[in-house]
Amino acid sequence: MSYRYYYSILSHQASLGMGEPKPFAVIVESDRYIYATFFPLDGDSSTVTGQILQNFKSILGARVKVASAAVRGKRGAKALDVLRREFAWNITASQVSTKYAFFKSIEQVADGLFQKHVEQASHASESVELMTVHQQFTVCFDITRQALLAA
Amino acid sequence: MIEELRKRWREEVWLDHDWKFDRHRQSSPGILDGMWIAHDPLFAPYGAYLKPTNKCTYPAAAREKIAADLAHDVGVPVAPVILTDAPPSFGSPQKEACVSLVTHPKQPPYSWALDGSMPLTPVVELMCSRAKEACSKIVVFDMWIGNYDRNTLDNIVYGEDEDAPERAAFCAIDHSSSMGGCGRVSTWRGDGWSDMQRLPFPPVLESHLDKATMLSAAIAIHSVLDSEIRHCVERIPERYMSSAIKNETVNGLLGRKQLLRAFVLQFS
Repeated sequence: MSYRYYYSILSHQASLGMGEPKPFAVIVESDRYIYATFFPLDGDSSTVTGQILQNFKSILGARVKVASAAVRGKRGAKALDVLRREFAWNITASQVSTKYAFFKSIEQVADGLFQKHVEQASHASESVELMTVHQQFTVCFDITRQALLAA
Repeated sequence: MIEELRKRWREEVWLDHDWKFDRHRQSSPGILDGMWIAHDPLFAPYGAYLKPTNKCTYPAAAREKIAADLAHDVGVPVAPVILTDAPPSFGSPQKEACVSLVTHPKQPPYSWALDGSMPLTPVVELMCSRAKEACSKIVVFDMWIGNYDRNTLDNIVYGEDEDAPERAAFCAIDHSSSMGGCGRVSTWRGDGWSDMQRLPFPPVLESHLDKATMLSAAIAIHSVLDSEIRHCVERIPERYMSSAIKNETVNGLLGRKQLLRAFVLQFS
């Protein structure tokens, strides 16, 4: 079980012309897995942007594969660093940070980070009356060479 | 609104405005640094980017402005640019800066659609067809102005507007190191401008280039009046670009305009 994890928080701004980016996902990388947990976002199928939001889980899987392949064999390189550079406009990714956690699985680490950085921010931005019940999605990608070759 | 700003910024050179930076957006550290401008109902409805915010040794802001104006005239999609003074709150060591407008409320990571990470839906197909025309024009424009900074996908964006789907378009940004590069001495000095080279272009977009559209773009550039090109350059205030560099820039643009069509014909 890893004790050092890297993570980035994804934020979404529906329009560059209003509001501010709101955290909706956390992506965590260990030496073996990339684990993402996120609130699904509404997407309108009439735009590429909307289709990305609608298919976020499967697209993220494809991008994790590309990012993992890009750092394969590069000592110390993190797929998360590659991945975060792809988020530039309506979806942005925070600088990659490090989290040390002993005797915790990547799921537990991701869940803790999600509660701290996403859920709390989400609650802070909604009044009690308007607070919506969010359904949380999770997805785990095995980024070992064998797993990527098998995929 | 954006079309109105596009027209106004093409007519005007410099804008005095108290820009506010966007505290939610982190700038990407680059050669010029720069800062995001918060959305502003009058001058930046979807935000903008101000640069340079460091001590720049070459006329980056002026080159951005000249490139945007020339692109406007030849029908190449480039984000509108205006010269401005960086507000003191930005902490920039030099005042001379430019602002590049964000033109759409949504700008998706379009490469995901081009490299097969997304299903090929009609919306994605439409975007691919738009990529063909826009990128074919942009690559020729880059050849003309000697823009070496198109080696990543970051400098071409795809914008969408749910309220006006017909506005969806690709748009080129970041031309500050064109027309002579980013060294202290311009690579266009003397007859340095005559070195026409195949310039870097993102591989995922290369397959969308169309030779007929490229040739049309070269013809459009060739037909711009010399006086118009000269005017675009010479109206830049001296503090943004010295007379000597303006002369080199005009010579380069006029000279390369003559070479462009033959160069595009060799392109494969």
